[in-house]
Amino acid sequence: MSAIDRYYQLIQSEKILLTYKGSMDGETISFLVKLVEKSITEAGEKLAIRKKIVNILVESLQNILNYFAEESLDKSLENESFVIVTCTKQEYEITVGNYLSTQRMKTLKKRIDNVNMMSQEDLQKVYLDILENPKVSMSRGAGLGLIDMARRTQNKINYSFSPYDNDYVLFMMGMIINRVKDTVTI
Amino acid sequence: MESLIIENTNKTPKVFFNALNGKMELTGRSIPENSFQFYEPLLQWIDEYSKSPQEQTQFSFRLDYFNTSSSMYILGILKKLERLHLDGKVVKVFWHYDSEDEDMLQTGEDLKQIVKIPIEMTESEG
Repeated sequence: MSAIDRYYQLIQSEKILLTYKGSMDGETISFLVKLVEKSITEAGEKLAIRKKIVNILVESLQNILNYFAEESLDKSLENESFVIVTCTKQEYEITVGNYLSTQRMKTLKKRIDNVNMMSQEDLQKVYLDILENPKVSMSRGAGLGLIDMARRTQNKINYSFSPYDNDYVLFMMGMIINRVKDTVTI
Repeated sequence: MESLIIENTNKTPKVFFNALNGKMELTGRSIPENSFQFYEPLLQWIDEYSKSPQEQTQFSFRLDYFNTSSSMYILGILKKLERLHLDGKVVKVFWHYDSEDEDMLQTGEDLKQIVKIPIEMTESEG
């Protein structure tokens, strides 16, 4: 099967709205967000869902940008950052990935686990706490960005770390945005 | 004192801070990578304005999207308005949200809990 056939099969079966691999700078992020926004608007997606997608996309891609601003890696590793946005009848999934140091992995894992353990009420409370006292952020073991994403999606954050060498790992994070609201059963 | 007017970009909102009538507005999306760089001059302007404010100050937030780093500065603006309000000045804050945008409504409600200042939620049709 040719590359074109394989690609076509993939985008049909998975309904891929966007895939990108490369460096993440401000302009690239704006462009990627614009592409996704265009396709979900043209597909007639509801405004509330569109906004959630844009918010989460911006937040997760800027996380990558901010991380490399703090801790710079070999350019060849930085350029392996990626994003995939897929869509099914029930949900959208935003997956982002980038290399990071093993050191960073430990703190990040703790943060995500922390967020995933919180109920919506907890998330709401901690969100307000951090917003009011940004310095609390570190001691609470979670940044505002992750909490905000978990609040908006009302889903757990999926993640994985794949070892690359002794110093670096490939980090992947997936967030699901439901298209249909759960109906309350009595 | 001069008014502060900054046109919007694809990452930053339009700023219309009118020193003459005390009406201020932020309109559009606020997703800059460097929120400090964008918001610091706005906060400084409000400090300057607060030295001799108009009888009534009105602030309208008409935001489509904002990232979490912007939310810290939006709260910063509200804190400054709160001080003005506590000093006995008339301050009105309007938080505009699209009727379908429950997240934006929620954020408005969140901010309302943090600052002691009347914030009016204003719903608009998408």
